[in-house]
Amino acid sequence: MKHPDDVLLSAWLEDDLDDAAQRAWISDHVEVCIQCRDAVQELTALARRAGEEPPEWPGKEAAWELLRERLGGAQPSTSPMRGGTGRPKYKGARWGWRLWLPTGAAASLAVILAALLMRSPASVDPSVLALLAEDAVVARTLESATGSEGAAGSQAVWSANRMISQGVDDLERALRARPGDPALTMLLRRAVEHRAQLLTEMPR
Amino acid sequence: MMRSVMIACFAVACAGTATPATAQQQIDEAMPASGVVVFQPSKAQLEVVGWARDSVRLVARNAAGIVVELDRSAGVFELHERRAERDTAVLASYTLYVPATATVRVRMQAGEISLRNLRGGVRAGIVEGSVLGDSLSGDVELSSVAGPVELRRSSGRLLARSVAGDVVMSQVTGIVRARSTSGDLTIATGLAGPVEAETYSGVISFEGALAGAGSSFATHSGDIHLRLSAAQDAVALVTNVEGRVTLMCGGRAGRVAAGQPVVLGDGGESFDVITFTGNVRINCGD
Repeated sequence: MKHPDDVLLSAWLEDDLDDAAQRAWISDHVEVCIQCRDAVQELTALARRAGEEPPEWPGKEAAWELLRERLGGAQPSTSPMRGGTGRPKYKGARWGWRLWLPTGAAASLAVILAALLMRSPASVDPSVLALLAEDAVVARTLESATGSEGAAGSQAVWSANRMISQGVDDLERALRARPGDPALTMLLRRAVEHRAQLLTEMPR
Repeated sequence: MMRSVMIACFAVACAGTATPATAQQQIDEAMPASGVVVFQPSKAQLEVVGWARDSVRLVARNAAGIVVELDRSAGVFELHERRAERDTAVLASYTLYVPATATVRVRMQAGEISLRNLRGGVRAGIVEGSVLGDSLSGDVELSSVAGPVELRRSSGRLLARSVAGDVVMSQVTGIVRARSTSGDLTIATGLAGPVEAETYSGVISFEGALAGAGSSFATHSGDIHLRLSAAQDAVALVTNVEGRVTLMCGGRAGRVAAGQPVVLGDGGESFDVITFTGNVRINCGD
């Protein structure tokens, strides 16, 4: 059985999925899948506690700080995802892609980072956690804006996003086995940046 | 002050002055050699050619029902295509002549873009289709989301990118950047640098000579093949987690341990070779 991941579940919980079919699939799935129902309960609890809970270990606070710093500019005036006119013109700057993130992206980070913290050992580098949380937001943005059917441009970005998700999962697993490995960390960073660049390719 | 000029009015839109749909339509307008030309048709075969005249000419074929207007303001010549709902699927054919030193900005949803003999800088992008550039210079950026991109005989600050398509850059010099997610990157240069090539799952093939510092070749899962000049002096810094690294340079042949700097010739500026699961092969004129 195919299960929605934490990112999709959190998006569904926040009623932030544009795709009606995807919403319906998750709703139906959660009805019958005990595992995902448990995950929903956990995410709901985490979302409630995320802003209140004191740091469980020093790295958590550092991850939050890094995340806030990295996503500091990700607040466009209107959402490109909702047909708004806030999509900026092409930015050649290396980090200009952050402007493509939807307005609500930062709000989802609480849930995503909380989920990552929950399943990560304390030895994981906080910067890696921040990177993964940021990447999850970008992945979700791309997933919502593209699809496996329809225009070729949309399909191309959708496929690329899925492929990078697989690669990021592989790197994340490798990093759990070899925490702090500089080569793996660098490869993860590149994968995350590569995915983020796809935001600028989303069909208008 | 912006002046709007209707430069072409085709058969269906101009009842009473009907022209056969297949007839060639042509308009001319004077423009400064240093001007900027912007054209964003929705679906077309578009050819942009630099010529030695201070004027812009648009030749349109198969454009029945399509109206093109020109907005001219402070050296910027912007061509607007307007289509009726029923004509959105029409594949128009345009040839756009511009001063060779003009700056060109082109954006399309679908079709093909080709550009040649432009020296004032180019930015051309398409969502579904191909982009081909030939003899371009200055700041050049060619992109496609779902199609291939090719750039030939060009120099300057060059960027060619695609998401799902292959990227080919041949006979290019200057600052060279190629990028794709699932496509292969094939780059052949003269002396160029820095060269940055990054694809996620595609293969990188590079042939040429690297100048200066800062070059990098990176994939997640694709192989990297570098065929460098026999006279190349450099140090390759290879990051490779799961693949093999093979070196064939100056009589040296064999595998290299990942993480170990590879000195080519007399050494010198370093460049990065980065992959997670791909194999790396470095040849030096062999």
